[in-house]
Amino acid sequence: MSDLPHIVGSDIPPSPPDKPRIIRPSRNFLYKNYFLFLLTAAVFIIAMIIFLLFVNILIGSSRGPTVQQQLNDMYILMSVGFSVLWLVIFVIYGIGMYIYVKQMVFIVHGSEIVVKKGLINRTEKHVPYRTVTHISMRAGPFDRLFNIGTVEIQTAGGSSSSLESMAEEKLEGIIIYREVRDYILTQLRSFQRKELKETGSELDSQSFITVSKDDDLLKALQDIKTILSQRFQNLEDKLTTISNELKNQRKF
Amino acid sequence: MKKLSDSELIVIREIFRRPSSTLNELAEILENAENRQVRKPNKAVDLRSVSKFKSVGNKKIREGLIKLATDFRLDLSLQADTPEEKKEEEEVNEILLRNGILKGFDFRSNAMVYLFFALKEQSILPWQAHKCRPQCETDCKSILGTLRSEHGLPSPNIQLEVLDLIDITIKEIVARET
Repeated sequence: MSDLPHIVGSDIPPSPPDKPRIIRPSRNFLYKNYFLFLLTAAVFIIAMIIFLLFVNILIGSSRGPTVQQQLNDMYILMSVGFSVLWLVIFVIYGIGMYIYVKQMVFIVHGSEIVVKKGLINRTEKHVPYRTVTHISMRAGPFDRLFNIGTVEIQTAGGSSSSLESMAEEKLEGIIIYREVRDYILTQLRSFQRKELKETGSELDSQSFITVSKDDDLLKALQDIKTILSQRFQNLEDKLTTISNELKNQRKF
Repeated sequence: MKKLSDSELIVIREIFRRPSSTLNELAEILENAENRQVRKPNKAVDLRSVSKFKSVGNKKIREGLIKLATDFRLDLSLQADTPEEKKEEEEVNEILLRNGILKGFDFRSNAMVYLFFALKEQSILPWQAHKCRPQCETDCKSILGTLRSEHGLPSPNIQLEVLDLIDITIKEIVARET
């Protein structure tokens, strides 16, 4: 990285892009899936050949040449048949996986992440930042072989006990997965800051309303006190007058 | 990146300035270039070699740009969602790449980064989309000035901000080829 030329303007913070960012899985993700499929097929075919060879040697040698010939024929037939079957499955899988990967889209918005995927059942999942608990990245041995990785987004609603399957959404097959993870984290933090600010201002306005309500109540109470004290004053005056009048009458 | 040979440089410069140049025109320019210093005098320039200079020059620029974009870990994926928009964006990107420009998104700085191939220096100049400040405005304008002059685009009559200037430059380059 030290040999890279300096990007003009990179030391100045840019204004955040207003458009959502569309992220698609790399072609290497497709190659990885093909590789895994072929590996599984190869392991299965080799295991089958070894098993048939073992049966041929063990049973065929003790049952005479006719049985051995029949077993040999069956052995060849089964090997060729299974290889052709795997080839047919691979062609179907290959086409299906190609369409699946081509249609896979991850969209990072300012407030949520949208994941569109599916071959037969097209699903569109919205993961709001509000529910995200943590974000992690994963690159298994086969991922590293194909230079790709997965960004996992985990939410508070995860029901499974296994950490791996708890991920609400996975952004798979990304070459620059570290940068994507950092980008999502930045977006998530700026969303949280924005929300905190909004919540703070809402609380401020609520407390302002409460304070003004208290003021009104106090004023009303003070008014009541004034009125009552005036009334009491009047009553006291009247009582004093009456008592004076009574005293005068007694004297006479 | 691999440097362009003198003949490739002449051909590519002409294509940058006039994208609609024919092979015959390119051959003529190559023959007259710099008082025939590049090629041996009295040697005719055949169309096949011009075509080769063109394709090899383009290939070197393309490879250099993509390698640098990979080194910077820029995201070069298309941002259009519908197939029609995607096709349109693919065409624009192809035109830009042919003209020595590559744009990619830098996830770390959350900004678009443009890579320009400068013919004069035979190197790639990376520039990040940003609102210029007085201290970087000269650098940014000089990069965009180099880009416009190498593509034979006149300076705009009105004073523009650098972000608008890059937008207009790219639109002008694409419009000349379509």
